[in-house]
Amino acid sequence: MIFFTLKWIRKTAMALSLVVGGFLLADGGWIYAKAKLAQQLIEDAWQQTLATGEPVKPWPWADTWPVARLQAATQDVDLYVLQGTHGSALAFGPGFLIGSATPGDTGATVIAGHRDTHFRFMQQLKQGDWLTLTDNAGQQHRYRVADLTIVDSRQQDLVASADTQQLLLVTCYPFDSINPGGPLRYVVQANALPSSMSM
Amino acid sequence: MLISKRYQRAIFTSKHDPFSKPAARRWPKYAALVVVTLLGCLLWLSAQANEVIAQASLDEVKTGQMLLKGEHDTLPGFALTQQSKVHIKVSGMVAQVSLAQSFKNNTDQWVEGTYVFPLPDKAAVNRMRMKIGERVIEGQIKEKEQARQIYHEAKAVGKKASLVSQQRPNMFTSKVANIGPGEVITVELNYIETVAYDQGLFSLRFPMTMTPRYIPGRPLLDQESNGSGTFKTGASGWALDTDQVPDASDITPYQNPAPGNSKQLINPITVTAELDMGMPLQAVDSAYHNIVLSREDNRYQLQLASGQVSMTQDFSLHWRPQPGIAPRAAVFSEQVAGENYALLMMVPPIQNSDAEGERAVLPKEAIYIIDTSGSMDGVSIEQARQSLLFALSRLNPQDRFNVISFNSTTHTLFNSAVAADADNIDYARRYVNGLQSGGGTEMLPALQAALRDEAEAGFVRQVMFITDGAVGNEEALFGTIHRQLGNSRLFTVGIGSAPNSYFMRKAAQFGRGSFTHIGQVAEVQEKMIRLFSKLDQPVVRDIQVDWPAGAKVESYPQRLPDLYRGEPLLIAVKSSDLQGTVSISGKTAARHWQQQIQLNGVQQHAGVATLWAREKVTSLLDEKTMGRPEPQVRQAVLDVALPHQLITPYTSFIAVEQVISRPTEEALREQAVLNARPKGQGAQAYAYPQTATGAQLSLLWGVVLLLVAMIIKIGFPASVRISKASAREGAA
Repeated sequence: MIFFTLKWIRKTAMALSLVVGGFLLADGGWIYAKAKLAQQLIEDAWQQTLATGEPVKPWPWADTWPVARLQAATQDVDLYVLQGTHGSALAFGPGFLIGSATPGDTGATVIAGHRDTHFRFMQQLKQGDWLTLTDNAGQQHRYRVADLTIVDSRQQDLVASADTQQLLLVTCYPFDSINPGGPLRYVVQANALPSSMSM
Repeated sequence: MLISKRYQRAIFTSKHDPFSKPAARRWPKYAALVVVTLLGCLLWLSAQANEVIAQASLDEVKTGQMLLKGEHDTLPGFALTQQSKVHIKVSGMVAQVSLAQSFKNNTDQWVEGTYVFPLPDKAAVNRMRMKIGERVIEGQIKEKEQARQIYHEAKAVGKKASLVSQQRPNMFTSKVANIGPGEVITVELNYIETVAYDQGLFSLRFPMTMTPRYIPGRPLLDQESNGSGTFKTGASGWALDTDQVPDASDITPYQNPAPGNSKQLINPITVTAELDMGMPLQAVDSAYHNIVLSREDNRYQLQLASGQVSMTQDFSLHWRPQPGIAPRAAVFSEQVAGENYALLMMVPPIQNSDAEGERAVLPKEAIYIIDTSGSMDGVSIEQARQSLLFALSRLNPQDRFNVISFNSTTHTLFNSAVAADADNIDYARRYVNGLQSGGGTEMLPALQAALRDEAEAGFVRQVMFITDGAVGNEEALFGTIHRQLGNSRLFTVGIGSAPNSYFMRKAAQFGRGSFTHIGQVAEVQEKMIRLFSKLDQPVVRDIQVDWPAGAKVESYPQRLPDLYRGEPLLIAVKSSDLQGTVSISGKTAARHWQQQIQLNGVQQHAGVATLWAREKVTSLLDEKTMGRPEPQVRQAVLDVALPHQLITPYTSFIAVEQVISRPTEEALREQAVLNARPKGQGAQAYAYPQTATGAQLSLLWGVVLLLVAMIIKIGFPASVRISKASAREGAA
């Protein structure tokens, strides 16, 4: 009896470990794969948006669509920004915070991204770096990084300027924490360069 | 190295294990694959660890500190500015208010201005005029969509036009098209409202600005759902329309980030008022503004001490008649187009001695809901905390209580209501003291949590809701309260410099409770005592009104409310013939009372017909909340609103100048007037999104589990052989 039990335990434990471990690896890998691959699918939708001026969903069942293109030349970053900061948008690209200013409007444009996928580059951003945001009319807006701040989301709100044109990039902090639910956020504030101001 | 040694051993030992023989032959291939994968993962994870070390210096920076600081680029002055003038004339229970909003275009281009502004939630707006210099154009009341079309046609051809529409009973939008460079256009509104009367104190509130409303729900994205397929941004509002708040972009005006001061006023306003109650007054006070008062017989005139102020805090005026002459009943009437309208006010004849019989009141189950959302940031959360602490201090040992706090999520302090003993109250006090504001305003789950339970037998269940009411889905919430109230009673405590009074009043109405406003920490004690004196006193129930025999009457509200201590009964009535006496009766637990009011020879009073129409509209809209189909309600509202010239959700005022002023080749730019930030409240803030995936965590656990699988494979054989042997021995 003991004999069967031990064999059974051993086999089951191994099978379980293999299956669950394999699943977790696949799951983790899938998150990265999705983050990379989706951006390519989104590119088509973005081109259509630029041509028609209308939002285009990257795939029929998507609950988001590209609203801007974010580029950081020094970090070799080129990303399509999606509408909304809900999890199902951020999985595929950085998300535009609904309610924040649209690029080119007075106020803060807030874009959030996952620290371990699209917005990993934020840890390399430094003061003076340039960011370019292309809005859905094809208009380019340029910003220069001014502040880099770590905030505790439990204690501080994300306070956005309403009288200047600025871009706030938000991601989780620290960048390499293994825990996805941490309270800290890394906020990069970039101010619009006067050339792109419209008013 | 460690792994590869074990790997060799694994191959070696597994050959001798008859129970995994078929697998054993394939094992080397798989093992090699697994090991390579695992090594790769470990390498990758350790590379991550190195980066963590490299980033350690960043970790030392405390949260909130600026790492680097750059200069801020600021923009020049605002393109479109607005200033207001309000004159309030109170006579008896009726206030007639005129409000002039002047829009000034500070640019050298043509501008279309949009201004989303608050009015009292019971305001009956019945007149609008557009003034351009000396020219005055009288506004017409039209069905909302028709008015919008007229406005857009006028705007397109270059005519000056203004459109005033209602977004919520306490939120309106003025749109003014074709304001020339440097030009000023004034929109003048008139409204009528009844003055509040409670526990012998008259009061009136003129709201100045709005706390940004939280918009729950998912954005409506499809072309079908918003008709045009384009997204409303820019001048219209900071939020996108959502499934729960389909008009979100219309009710979310931008806020001026500057707090404003005495030198630089934000949306300057002058306030003047005239009180004629027909009796001498004991005191006239403004809660948040300094005023200058003068008197001539029974007429009192007042104005702001500083002339103009920023529109950062509601103007709250209250006055009290001299002791002994406080009115117990009054009738005001008006004859319009052959119809008689009347407004009846009566304070139930309840004496303090009536309460004696009920002094041994039932113990209560008190549920306190406190709003800790981002809009409560600043002074509001402090007012809310103090109010709740005060409420806790009023609990008796035989009572039961619970505390529910909510922002994006709902947190219930105890699983269900607990005894109000010293330990529990102490625990709750510490919890309340630790509450911070931040996040969204998901009110529905909090309300449902509060209304889910029924009170235990022998307990009176009172839900006290402490909030600024800054939500966009009011109607859905009222519906929930109406359906789930059960035996509970809901009391609202409105917090902050610019609370959503419409929410406070209506939530309390559907919750069959009462409401109060707290605008300063210093007011907490006084206002809460007044509210508790209502909670602890008998309620007047089963109120009945018997009109003179034979009279055909249409009166509102149709379902008469329960009255708390000091609250008057207010009835608006229309009748072809209003003669004789009306008899009003009701009861408390202790006794039954009845009172007669004479309707003959009542003085004429302008505005009563409008107030009746407004009450009827309110009543119809309540029916919609309670489930009556909208098309029916809409038609019924149009039937009242058009003849009575009332702004409603279905009717707007439109004024168009027939002259074309803007040359069509010149562009028209959209500009919105920024609302002032409510005094003491934080700047417009957003909740932080969740910005990390669980990918690394998944990968780490995946690697760990695969390692575990290998260790089992490698580590077990020896022990298994032993147990195998012992098992055979046992069998023999």
